[in-house]
Amino acid sequence: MDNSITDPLDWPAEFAAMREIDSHLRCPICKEFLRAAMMLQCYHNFCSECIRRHLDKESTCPACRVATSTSQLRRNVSLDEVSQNFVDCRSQLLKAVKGSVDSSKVKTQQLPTTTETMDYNVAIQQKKRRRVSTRISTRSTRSGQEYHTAATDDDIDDEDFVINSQESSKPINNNGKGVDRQKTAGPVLRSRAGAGGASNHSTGEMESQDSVTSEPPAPSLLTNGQPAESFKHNLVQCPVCAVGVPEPYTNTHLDKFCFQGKKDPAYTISYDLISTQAPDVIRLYERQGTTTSDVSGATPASLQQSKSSNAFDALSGFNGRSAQTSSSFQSKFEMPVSPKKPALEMPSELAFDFITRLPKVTYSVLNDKQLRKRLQELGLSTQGDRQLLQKRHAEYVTIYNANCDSSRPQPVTQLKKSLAAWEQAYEKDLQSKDAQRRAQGTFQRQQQELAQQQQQSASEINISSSQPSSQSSSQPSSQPSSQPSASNSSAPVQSHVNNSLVAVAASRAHLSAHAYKHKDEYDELIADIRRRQMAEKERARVEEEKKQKEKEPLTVV
Amino acid sequence: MSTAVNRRMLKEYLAIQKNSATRPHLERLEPLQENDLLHWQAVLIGTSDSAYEGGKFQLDIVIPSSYPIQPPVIHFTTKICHPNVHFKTGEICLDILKSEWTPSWNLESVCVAISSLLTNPEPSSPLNCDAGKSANLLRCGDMAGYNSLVKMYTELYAMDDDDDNDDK
Repeated sequence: MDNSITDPLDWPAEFAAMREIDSHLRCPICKEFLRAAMMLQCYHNFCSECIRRHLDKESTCPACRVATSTSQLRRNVSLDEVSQNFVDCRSQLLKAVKGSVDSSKVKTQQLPTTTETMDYNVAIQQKKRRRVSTRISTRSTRSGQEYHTAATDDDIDDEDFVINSQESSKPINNNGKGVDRQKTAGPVLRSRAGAGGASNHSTGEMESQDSVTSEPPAPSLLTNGQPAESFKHNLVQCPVCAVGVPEPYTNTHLDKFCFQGKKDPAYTISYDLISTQAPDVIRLYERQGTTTSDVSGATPASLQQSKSSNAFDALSGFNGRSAQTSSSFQSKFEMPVSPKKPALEMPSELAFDFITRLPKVTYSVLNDKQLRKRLQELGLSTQGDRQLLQKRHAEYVTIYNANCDSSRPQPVTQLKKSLAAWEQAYEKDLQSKDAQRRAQGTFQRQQQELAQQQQQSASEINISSSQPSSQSSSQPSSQPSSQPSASNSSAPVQSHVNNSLVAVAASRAHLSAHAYKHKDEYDELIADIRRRQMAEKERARVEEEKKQKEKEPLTVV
Repeated sequence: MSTAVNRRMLKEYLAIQKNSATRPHLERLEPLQENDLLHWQAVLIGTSDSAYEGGKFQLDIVIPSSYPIQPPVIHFTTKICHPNVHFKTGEICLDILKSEWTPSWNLESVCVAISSLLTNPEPSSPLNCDAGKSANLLRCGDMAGYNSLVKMYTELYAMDDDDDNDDK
């Protein structure tokens, strides 16, 4: 991912829909584009790492506060793909859009249709979680109309989806839904690009959607986006091991080989290669097509014979442990169904390394020794105090599990590197906090000493105040030792002075607790009050003088 | 981790700069120093329909390194009379800054929330010990009394020409 800071507002105001798409493809937590998108049961999507970090702390959805947990997390594969591909093409798209804004109007009329269809696509996947922002209102009337048509299409699709789920007797998992919906979006996009989104067109779309969705889910899932029509037997790509399989035999392949973690002898060539030698493979398959019985016998021989470059080889080349876990995993969870460039892209040795997520640990039930052992098992450092050990383990579990969710996982060494980076940042943070605390400590000590001094001087004054004093009664001075000299006011009542000083001394003890913390505020407050009183007194004196002056001439006269 | 915070804060900074026109209640929201994105400052403007009208209230915002999982630490640096704000420390009693924080929030939305807290005080959980009075006034439904109290403090502390008044 590039390091430049991007923002939905990069898009020009004329393309408000693009801003929406941009913001919807971002994780609400980190505000980056979704990395390994995960969906909660409330249908809100987040980066895997972000949401795991959040759920460690609090078990609610960050967007709607619905109670949830890590076990509720499901991969939103299609959204993840959309997000990743959007990131890949974003700069180009932005350039094109900006160029079109600058150039003639003819160009700008074409581009909104593409953005609109994308908006529609996102709208489906976000399941109508449309944050209607004030930005929409800033659109021109033309794009506003388009927005309306997109909205009605939204509704149509929803109805269609409801019918669809009622009709189909099979329980469809989340993953299947996503792909099905993406599939239904296909004809809509194409037809709109041709017809420009006429309103009477939607009925035709409905029919075509129905015809697509009434197919059995497996083939539609497998042929997604692939030019499979060119073959007689409809070779399709296995979503698990990415090899080409003749369509009628997909189930045999899945049941007998893929989910068992074994290599199918009949079709070990990756889908990409098959396109050139399809007839041969199909013939080969038809010969062994009835591979319902003898699986184990066929496997070892052909295993060594063909070392083709598919990910399935990587699996069988990998150690037995993860092969076992993979089979149990695959039965429980959906595998990544990426329509293009599947597992082939990642380094072969980690293709199936991340299949088991690390369990969440309740640290309070572990003693130090057990915790160290756990860290050691993960190959992590066991240095540092208990708190650091816990945090290190928790952090590693988070990034490890997030990596499991990613369709482009990183090697363990990379994870260890990012853990080390985290630890450095953590220690730095700790140090700065320490420094702050120390500074605060010294400040508090100073305050304490100051308060003691004040108390002493207050009590001294208390004693001395039995003598007649010219001090103003109403002055709650904070530092009686340094009493202000400006007070030649009217004669104070002595008992009053005494009382007020006692009160000040008493309240100071109570205040001092606060004063440690908020010394500045108190000083400010008291200074402020004093200033006001001074001003008042000044005014009073001036008035008195005036009166006296007024009186004086009278007496003279 | 800390880099993640910085990235997010930089994003927020850029976003705030871009749509600064849409915030009438917020005079300023920016980092104290250019090179430290973890310490911000904001200036709220008292809305015209409240007793805080004409006042400018400064907020001090400290971003923890685990932001946005943890909420920012915000307090008023301008003295303000409000039942949910500590008069001396400026501490704000607002649920979304404490238990109800979610990472989807950002600094701008928090400032909006604080701004709306000014107009809609919550007397049932007072923090302002001195103006426990103000909470009492509110609970008794004495809006006139409350408003005049608030107005006085706003004029005392939050007006620009505070010092000029003093000198006169």
